[in-house]
This record gives sequence, structure tokens and C-alpha cells, in this order.
Amino acid sequence: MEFFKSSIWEIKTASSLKILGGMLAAGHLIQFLFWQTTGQLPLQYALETSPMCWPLFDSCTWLRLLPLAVLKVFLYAYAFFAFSSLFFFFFTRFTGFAFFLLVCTFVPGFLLYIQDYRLSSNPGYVLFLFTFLYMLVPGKARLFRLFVVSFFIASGLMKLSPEWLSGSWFMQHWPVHAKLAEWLAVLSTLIELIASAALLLRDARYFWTGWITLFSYLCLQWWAMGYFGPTLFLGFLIFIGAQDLELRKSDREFIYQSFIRPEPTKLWTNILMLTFWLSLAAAHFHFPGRHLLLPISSVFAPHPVASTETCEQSTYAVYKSHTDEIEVPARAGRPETMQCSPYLRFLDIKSLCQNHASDPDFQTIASFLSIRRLRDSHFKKAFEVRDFCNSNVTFKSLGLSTWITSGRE
Amino acid sequence: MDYERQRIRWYWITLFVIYSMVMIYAVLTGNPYLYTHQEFKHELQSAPEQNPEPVPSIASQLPLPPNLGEQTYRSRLNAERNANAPAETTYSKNFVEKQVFPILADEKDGGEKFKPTLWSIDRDGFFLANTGAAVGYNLNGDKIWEFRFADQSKPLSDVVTDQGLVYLIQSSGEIVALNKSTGQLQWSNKLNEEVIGPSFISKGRLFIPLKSRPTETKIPRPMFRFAVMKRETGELSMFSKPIEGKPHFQISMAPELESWILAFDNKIVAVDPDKLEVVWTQTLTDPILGPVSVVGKSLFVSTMAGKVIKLDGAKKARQEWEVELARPPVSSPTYLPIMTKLSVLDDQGQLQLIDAKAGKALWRFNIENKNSLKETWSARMKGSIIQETGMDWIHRGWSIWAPCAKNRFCIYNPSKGQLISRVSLSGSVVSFPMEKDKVFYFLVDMGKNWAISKVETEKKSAASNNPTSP
Repeated sequence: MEFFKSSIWEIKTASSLKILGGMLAAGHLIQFLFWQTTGQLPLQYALETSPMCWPLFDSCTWLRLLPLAVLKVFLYAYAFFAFSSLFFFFFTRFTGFAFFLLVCTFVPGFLLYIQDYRLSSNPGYVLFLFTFLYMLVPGKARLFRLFVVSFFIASGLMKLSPEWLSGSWFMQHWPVHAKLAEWLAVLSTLIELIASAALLLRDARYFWTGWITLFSYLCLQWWAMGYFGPTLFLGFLIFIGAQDLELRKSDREFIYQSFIRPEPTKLWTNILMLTFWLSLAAAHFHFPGRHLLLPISSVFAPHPVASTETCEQSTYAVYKSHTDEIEVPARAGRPETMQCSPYLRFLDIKSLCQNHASDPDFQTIASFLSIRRLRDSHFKKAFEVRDFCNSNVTFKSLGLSTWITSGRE
Repeated sequence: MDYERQRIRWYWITLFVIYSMVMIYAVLTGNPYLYTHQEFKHELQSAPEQNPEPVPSIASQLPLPPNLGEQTYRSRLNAERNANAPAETTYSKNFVEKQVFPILADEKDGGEKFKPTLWSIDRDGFFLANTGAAVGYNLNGDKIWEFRFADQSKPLSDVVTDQGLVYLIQSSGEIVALNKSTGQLQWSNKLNEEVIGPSFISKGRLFIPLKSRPTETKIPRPMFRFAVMKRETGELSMFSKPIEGKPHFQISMAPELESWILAFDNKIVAVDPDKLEVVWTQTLTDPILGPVSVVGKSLFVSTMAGKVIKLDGAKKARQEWEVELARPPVSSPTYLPIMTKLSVLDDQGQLQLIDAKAGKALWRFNIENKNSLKETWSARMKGSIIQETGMDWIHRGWSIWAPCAKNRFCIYNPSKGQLISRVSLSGSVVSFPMEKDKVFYFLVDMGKNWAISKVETEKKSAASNNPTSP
């Protein structure tokens, strides 16, 4: 409880942290709306027989202990607490209560989020990680400023790959010429790398130039990518702006305020920043002892930004009297980089088997998946399975060739 | 804490500037083609394959039919497209339609009318397809399988069969291979390029003509390339070099020339089947109608200008003769072996005979063809029929078979055009016949729906026949 008390005390003393609390509560509300508009995704996945485990765990059936009715209660409780928390963060007197409601938001939301890896996304990951740190870690103002900047820089560094710099992402989403797409890729990478670093500087000219650039960039992302991620980061940017103004004010009034309180410890911030950057390095570089960091890396490192694969899938429902070519329904909210994941496609079809099982004429599903990575000159087969609904067909039994699994640790 | 907090430290700014410069350098060197006209993505994809390992095969999941053999159906009766029935089989003249099997799809919903746009008819059955579905019927008229496409707006390009499988090829490049006798899915592949011509099987491999992708060096002529696929697994074996050819070109095989003969617009192109390269190209003055009819090393073509032309395939299609007909032909010429004649139907439904040696039009006879099929074919009559009808023994009974009048097909003596036999069917003749054990199977359009018409020899009577002469 001491953790919470000191956290509440720290939040009460800084308006920017109250803004951040409100932003986090709003973020959870957006997460709920996102789940709700995509057909109550956590409940959908809970209905399926085989969950997709987080890379941290070998097995995750234990996550399925909660019955569906309880999960449904969790989902609505999550929305209720998020909204209440956001509401009470508007009132300085109720900051402690709003903080308590945010804790109540986090618990059911997190339980829903971790039950299936398919629910993971960069915005979701940032939201739950930041809420967790907001609840427990001292030195929040500095920690979040560094974390937000680190996220932008990490995202920029990941965009230094040929996959992003080739402009494929822009060509996939907009009808632009390849050269223009390449320049847009360069520009976006530079904004994330340089404008975000400017947020660490005390010089107002540098800081606000970086801030405005990033703000405009996120607004463009909002239009291009959808509301979830950009809204969240716009909120964090507002927090950083507010925090900077607060810092300048406190600098001006330093002589009067120095006796008020001691500075919170910087130790946790430094440890967490080191962990974040080490896990990111472990995800992308080979160095001695890397394998020890991989489990942490799988939790901490964000998903790559650009999709580097295109895939083609033909799926057929086999009935006693005929065969139908069918489309596998696209799962809303799936990160672009996971669209071609053979494992996710495998789970999608297993779930289709379940949906068709009630039809007495239905026999099985056959499916053929081909993937083309950016550097491949043509599509290669990832799996081709004729009897998907056979219980003996497991993902392991598909015997995927090494070209698919390489680089997917 | 002191007032120094308010100061801006110069080394942070310097560090920021250095960091920014390093990042700009990293970004600009990350794409070495940024300042050139070359596209980075294209350059990455043209690099050698990173992981050229084979993909897992489904052969273990799906036992293949024991012998896939060669292609079992070719339009115009054979790969040479000269519309000759096999010379070793002889036929009687008295036929009667014994049974008619309606073709239906989606019987669960009450038997929807099914009008196929493509078909393959062989000794195992009828394999028919339209945009939305494909069905397999055995020769007893039983539907053995049905396959329905998800996207019914994509047109189908071809239906190809061999002894074991049926290949449904969509224009979008999606190929589905089904077991011919069970309809079980064998494999599926997406080539992601437009199929622009007929697909076929040669030397055990499936050839699919795909629209050639634009390359940096602009190709002045319309080009395509063959995707060569393994029939057992659907794996792509190779792509040919670009070959000149327009969409919907026609192809005939010329075994004696060791070439494939392609026809489109007013061009004839010979392709080496091993190297998949163009051997020669010949340009005619008029557009060509249908495929080239190949007989040994000779090539016969009908043109839209109303001519029939003979070309010497051994001499890069040098023209030997041309004959201008009274009315323009509507199909490729059909060859009559031994007597060296050609038959062709014209735009008024009249049957025209041509001397294939001298290049002279012979007799013309109005057969009032009102069937969907506008082509003739040639087959041999039995000795007893040669005797009975007074045909020349020297010509070994080769006769002209053609759709005639309404819902009929007729057999004619080529020497003077006498009608030998006339057979009534339940609908308009749509396809060339498929013969198995002296029984003919036709695809007929009955108006309401299409059907398989089974025509057998009637030994007792030929009363319905009323031979006449032109």
C-alpha cells in the first residue's frame, strides 16, 4: 500500500501526472471501444478451443479457467472503471479515488488482454505497461517522458530496415508512386528519430519544434492508420507538453518550492530504461547472453511497424455433396505485421472448423497458404493442409520449412 | 538543485546535433536507391533468393491417382486441332439418341440451371464449369462432384483434364486441382497474374500463359510467359521467357515440326516446346479465325477475309496456296485424311469442301446449321457403310460429320456431298462428340438447361435417314 500512497502523493503534486492519469483512463476506454467495435474480441477468442499463447509461456490453457460469463463481466467492468476514472481525474479532490479506479480498470483489462496473444498490439502493450508503471513506479514524470521518447526512437530505429525504407507500407495503403513512397518512408523515420529526441532538450525552441512536428505527424497517422495508436500517443504528447510547462514553472519558482518535498528516486527509471533498451537490442541483434533476455524481450519489445509480407490463402469447405471455396473472415484489430502469420492463420481455420461442425453435411476444411516476403521474387507455400479439422493436425505437425520460421523467434 | 537548472547546456545541443546527423546518415544510406530512378523494392526482389529451400509437400496427405497421363480433352478432337477422329476406329451410320441427362448445379436448392462456359469431356465423364461453379458428371449422367467458387465475379479461364485430375484455372491466376473421380481437392495455387490464353498439359507438365509483367526495358509488343507447374503438387517449376502473343490466342501442337503453333490476330508463331522460345513468326494479311489446323508439317488456317490458306510449317510458314470462298468461313478447316480435302462451315451455315492439294474450292452444300457448334469433324465409316453408300474404298471411309439443321448432326460423303445419315438430338449441339465404346456423348443446349446426350448405334433400322445429294 505504501507504493500506492507515495504514487498518489506524487500525482497530487503534479498536474501533468493527473493529465497522464486521465489520458491512461481514456486510453483504456478507447481500448474497450476498440474491442467492442471488433465484435468483443476477447470474448470471441475465449470461445475458441485453442488460445494463442504469449511467447513467454509454453502452454496457456490455465488462462482459460475463467468462464465466459465472468469474462463478460470483466469486459463491462473494465469500461465502467475506465470511464469513472477518467471522470474523477477531472477533479483535483478526487485524484486518489480516480487513481484507485484506474487500478480497478487495470485488473480486469489486463486479465482480458493476456488471455490470448492475438489481442496484443503496440498501443495495447503501451497502454497496459504505462498504467502498470503509473501505479507503482516513483519518479513518474521523468520516467514517462523518457519512455515516450524511447518508444518513438525505438519505432524509428525499427524503421531503418529495408522493408520500411522501400516504402512498401505506403504503397500498400495509398496509391502513391514508389519513389514518393520511399521519400515518405525516409521522412517518417527521421521525424520519429529526431523530433522525438528534441523532446529531451530544455531549450524551448528545440522542444516545441519537436513537439509540434510529432503532433502533426501523429495527426496524419490518425488519418492514415486509425484512431487507436495515434490517439494514445497524442495523449502522451499532451502530457509531455504539460509536464514541460510545469517544469519551467517549477524552475521559475524553484527558490520557493525547494523545501516542499524531496525528489523521487531515479533508480527505478534508470533500471526500467535499461531493461527496455536491452530487451529491444536482444530482439534485433545477436550478442552473448542474448537468449537469456529473449523472454523479457518478447514482452517488452514492440511489434515491428511495417508489414514485410504479403500472403495468399485459398480455403475450401468440404461437404459430403460438394466443395465450396470460402473466405476466412478477416480478424479485426489484428496488427498488420501479424496478418500473414501461419500460426494465426492456422488458429483461424481451426476456429472455422468449430463454426461449421454443426452442419451434418460438413466434413473438413482444406487450406493453402502462400507467403511472399519483401525480398522474395515469388510466393512460397507456407502450409497446405487438406484435412484441417482432423484433431491430429497441430501446428507442429505441419512441419513448416525453416524459411518461414527463421527470424520469428 | 540550483539555478543552473534553468540554463541550457551546450553539450546537450551538440550531442543532439551529432545524433541527428548520424540518424540522417543512417536513413539515407539505408536506401541506396533514394536518389536514383531505380526502385528499392524492385531491387530487393530481384536479388537472389534468400532461402531457396523446398516447401513441404501435401503428397503424403493426398494419394494421387496412379497415372495422370496426358491431357484427355482437346477442343477439335486432338492436339493438332485438325478435327480428325482417331483413324483406327470406324463407325456405323445409324445412330439414335438413347438418353439425355440434364446438367444441374446446387441440387439441394432444387436443381439450379447450369449453363457451362467451359468444359472438358473425356472417357471418364463431363467436367463443366461456369463463373460460379464446376461440376463433374460421369458418363451415366450422375453428378459425381460439385465445386463452388467463393468469388463468382472472377471469370474462369480454362478447364483442363488429365487421367486423374481436373484443373480449374481462373483468369486471376488461381488454380484448383480436383480429383476427377471424387472431386477431392488435390491442391490449390495462386499465381497472382492474369491468365491470358488456353492452359494445357504437355510432357507431363501444366502450362499456364500469364500476362508478362512490365520490366524496365519496355516491351514494344504484347507478350506473355508460360508458368510451368508440377501437376502432382501445384508447385511452380519455372517461368518461360516472354513470348509474343495476345490475350485469347489459340494453340495447336505440331509434333512433326516439334513446335507449338500459336495464332492471334494475323500472326502465327511457332514455339519450341523444350526451350519455350519463339522459333519463327509469320504475319498474314488478314486476321486468323480459330486455331491453326495442323496436318503433319502443313498448317491450314481460315481467315476473316473469307480465305482458307495452306502454309508450310517446315519453311517458317511460307504460304503454299490460298483460296477465296464464296462466303467467309466461321471456323478452322477440318482435314479429311487420304483424300486430302478440307471442310469448313461458312457464315450462312453452308458446308464447303476444299481441295487441300490444289487449293481449289469444290462443292458447297447448304446444311442449314442452326446449332451452337459451327464446326465440322471427320471420322471413318465402317466397310459395310462404304459398300452401302457407294463411297470410294480408296478413301477408307473418311467422311464429314457436321451439326446440321436444328438439333441434329449429319454425316456426309465428301466426294459429292451426299447425306449419309442424320441424327436428331434433344437440343442444340454445343460440343464436339466424345466417343467411348462406339457410343457418342454430346453436350446439348435444351433451352431451359444443358444436358448430356448419349447417342448409340441403332442396328435394326435407318428409317429416319433420308439421304439426298446437293
